[in-house]
Amino acid sequence: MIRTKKILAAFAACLMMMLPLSMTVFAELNNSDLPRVVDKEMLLDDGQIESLENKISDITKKYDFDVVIYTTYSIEGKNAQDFADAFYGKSGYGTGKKNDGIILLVSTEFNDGGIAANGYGEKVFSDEKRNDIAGKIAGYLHNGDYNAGFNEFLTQVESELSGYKPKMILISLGIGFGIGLVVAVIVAFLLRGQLKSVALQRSAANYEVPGSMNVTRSHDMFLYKHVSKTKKASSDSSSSSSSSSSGTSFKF
Amino acid sequence: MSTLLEYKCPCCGGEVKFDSGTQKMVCPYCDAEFDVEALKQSQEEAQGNAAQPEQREWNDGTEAQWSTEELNGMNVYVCKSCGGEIIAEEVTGATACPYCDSPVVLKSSFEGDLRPDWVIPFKLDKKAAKEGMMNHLKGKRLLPKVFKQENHIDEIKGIYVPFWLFSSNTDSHFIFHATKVRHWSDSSYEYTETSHFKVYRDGNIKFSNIPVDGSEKMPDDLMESIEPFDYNDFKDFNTGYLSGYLADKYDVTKEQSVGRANERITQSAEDAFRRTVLGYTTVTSEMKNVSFFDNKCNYALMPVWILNTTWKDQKFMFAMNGQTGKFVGDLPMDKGLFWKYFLGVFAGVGAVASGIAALINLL
Repeated sequence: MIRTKKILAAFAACLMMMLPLSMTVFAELNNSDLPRVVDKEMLLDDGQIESLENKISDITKKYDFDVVIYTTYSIEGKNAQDFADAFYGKSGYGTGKKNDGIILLVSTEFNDGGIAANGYGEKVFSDEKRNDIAGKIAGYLHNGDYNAGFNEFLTQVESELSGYKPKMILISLGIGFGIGLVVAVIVAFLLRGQLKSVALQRSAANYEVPGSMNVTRSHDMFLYKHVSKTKKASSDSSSSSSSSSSGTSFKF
Repeated sequence: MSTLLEYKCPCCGGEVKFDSGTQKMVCPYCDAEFDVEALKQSQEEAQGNAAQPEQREWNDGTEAQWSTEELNGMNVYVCKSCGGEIIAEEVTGATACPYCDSPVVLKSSFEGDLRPDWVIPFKLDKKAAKEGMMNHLKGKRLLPKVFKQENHIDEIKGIYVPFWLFSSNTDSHFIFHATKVRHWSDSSYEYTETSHFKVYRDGNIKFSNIPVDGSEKMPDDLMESIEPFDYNDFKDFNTGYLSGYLADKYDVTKEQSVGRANERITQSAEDAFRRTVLGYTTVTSEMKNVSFFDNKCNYALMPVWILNTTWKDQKFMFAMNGQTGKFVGDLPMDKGLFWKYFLGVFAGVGAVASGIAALINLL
């Protein structure tokens, strides 16, 4: 009976340890009164803006992640991702302490687009993912179908966010049980080693006469030396200058 | 002269045995205690005064009693206490009569060249040996519970095991290959510089009384595992110490044993000189040459408590150093328990580590 209770208690403790895998801690949306679709270039009508705002609101509620769409004429000669990132940061968008979120910038002056991710968004939207999303929406933007392009952007963002958690859970489980396997092997073999106490002695160290060692020759001779070199890995040229966000610029 | 030795109590005539606790000969009947040497002298005087015809008859009887067993490496003796036949292996030095349990010492096993130089008397008794066994089984999580049953513990036997003790001075020559590794980097590259050296070390080192067991029956690894013995307790050989215990003479000669001693000496010399090679990243041995001189070999009997047991058709042998109490012996493993611990730790640590990994990834 006591043994059963101990096993149940241990099982319950293990389950509790795995709780973080299912937990979602909801953080506050910063500056929630600000619009998430800032259409300075008036590429959308009111209905389209409202529809996009609703979609963004759904995403934010579901994934605790801010999404911003910003259209403007000129990016003043700057890099599109930096401009987007600056706007995002200056306006105070994001959720939680790390301002988690993503922004899509469209500039009509020279058909520049920029995607910048912040906080948790940097882990979800890697360079490859951002480039992929840019590739999918560029066609719509090029054809002037901005509403379709922005809807596609939101669809891609939601798809990525929904797939991230399960992937992270699997990776966490893999790492966790990998560590568990290594520790289990060490512990099991240590316990097994307790049963072995018979072995031939390696040497006769116990029988050396103390103080009897006399070194009559001690000579170290240099032979040759060899130098090898490896090239250092180059830094990522596509990363943003900001240390807390990652961005992608594209043309459409 | 009698080939069997039994030590009689001068007070009551009972058979006296060597007591490891007091290091004296003790009569279990009247509790009288005697010094080993004093009792031996007293016994010899008594034998000198005994009627000659009995001894002559005994000598004649021994010759007449050679039997076919002797051709198979067995010897036959007659117990002086009860007259029962004692059949013992050729190597047996001390045993007990199977009929009256009187301790007997087979003097012929220790005469002439077979006489040991030294003996370390038993310091720990059978009770200590049993306690040693119980402690040895404690805390072993993977030991099958049924193995711990006590029914085998009474079969512990105290045996004086024959050992060859090798002493030598060595003249050693070693050549090592050593490397020093240095790392640095600049803006474009990481550099590794490896310098190679040849290291010469010559010298002398002495070794004293390296034990190698001289008994075929005793596994070498088991006997080496109960080392070391404290040689400060060496006594000049006296058959009195053997009374009450089993003893064997050697059946592995010193020529057959010296190879093992040489192996250990060579390894020790290499380790000692390698420790003088300092300041390198790696050191590997390229050449070793160890010569021996001033060699000496002594023969001694060392006290060992032995337990043999069988479990699930597997034989297990345990040994306890009868002087220091060091207890050794490989134990069986319960495979079910092994997997239970393995899976338990795997699940527990895995769950905790997964939770921590998830927290780090998600925060």
